[in-house]
Amino acid sequence: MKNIPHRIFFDSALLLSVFVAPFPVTIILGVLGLFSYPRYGEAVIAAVVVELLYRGKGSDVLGSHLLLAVWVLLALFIIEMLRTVVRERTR
Amino acid sequence: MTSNFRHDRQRQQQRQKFIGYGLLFVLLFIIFRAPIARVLSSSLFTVFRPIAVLQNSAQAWWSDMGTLLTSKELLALENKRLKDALDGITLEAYSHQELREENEQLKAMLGRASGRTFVLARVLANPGRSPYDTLLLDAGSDDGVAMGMKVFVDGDFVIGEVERVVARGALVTLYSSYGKELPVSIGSSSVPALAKGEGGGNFRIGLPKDIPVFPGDLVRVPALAPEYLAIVAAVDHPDGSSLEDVYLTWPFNIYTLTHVYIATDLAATDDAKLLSDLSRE
Repeated sequence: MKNIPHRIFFDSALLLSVFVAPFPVTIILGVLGLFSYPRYGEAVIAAVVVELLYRGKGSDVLGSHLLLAVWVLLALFIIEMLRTVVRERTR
Repeated sequence: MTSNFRHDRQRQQQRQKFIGYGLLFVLLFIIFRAPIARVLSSSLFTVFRPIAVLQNSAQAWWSDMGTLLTSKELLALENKRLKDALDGITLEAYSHQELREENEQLKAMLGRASGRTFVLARVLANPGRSPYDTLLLDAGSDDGVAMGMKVFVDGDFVIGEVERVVARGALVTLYSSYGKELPVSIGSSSVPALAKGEGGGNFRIGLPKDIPVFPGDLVRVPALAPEYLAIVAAVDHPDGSSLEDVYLTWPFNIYTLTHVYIATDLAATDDAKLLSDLSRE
């Protein structure tokens, strides 16, 4: 398991990227976080910040009306499920 | 026995996990549907504004440093090229300005003067920073900006409408947002059409094949004062189809836009004004 200061530093970078970096940078950091840290709910928080800050009424993300935060939550759920399956298989 | 107990515990943990994710899912919908979203959004903008201003200043400084490091020879060449371009544009601007004044006078004589007033706003975030076709501006309700106001760039190109206002900022949804539709007129015979947003400053129009449209044609928004949506970038005639696809684009780069003008006298509806006043409170 990665240590807590490392995770806090990564969280700060992720949240700062929402404000100052192009969106693909935030996506890359979010995906890295989801795969590197257990239960990486910070990615959902970052998605909520993106929604609240930049989304207009009826705006789409990648042609979908669904909230970005919901997509990230789904990704988190799937990754956590995969983790559980892999852990049980290797036990 | 021990194995059964372990399985039960695992199942219980799985169920708890499912319930947790379900609750989080519901919480997200509550956050985005409840009035708290507006409060959170406003607070986030307060945090974002100084960061964006600082970043823009740093970028401008970096750009200036780059100019200082460029060789004198290159600068002289660029200076000459820009002077030539400016001469050409100045000549065109004389006639353009005169025609514009004449147009305004004629409209005033007929009692249909457009009389726009604008508020200059700095762009804090371009579409590249968000997954949506939106702009964040540094002018808000304190500067007289309200929901529904149209946003222009130089050359009378209208790019979007103000959709959310806070005290010192506004969110603009661009007309090129995916799925947005805007009535326009196109070509020399001003054929009415519906421009559909394709994202990233691009639009598409479907027209009957025999309508003459050429790359470079201006696409107008029906209004008293001159308003242009975009220019025709390409026209595609698919084989066997009775329609032609007209692709439009803006003649400027939306990703590097630094300033826009908000037409403050063009608020869409009274409801929009009311909502803006409420959000200010």
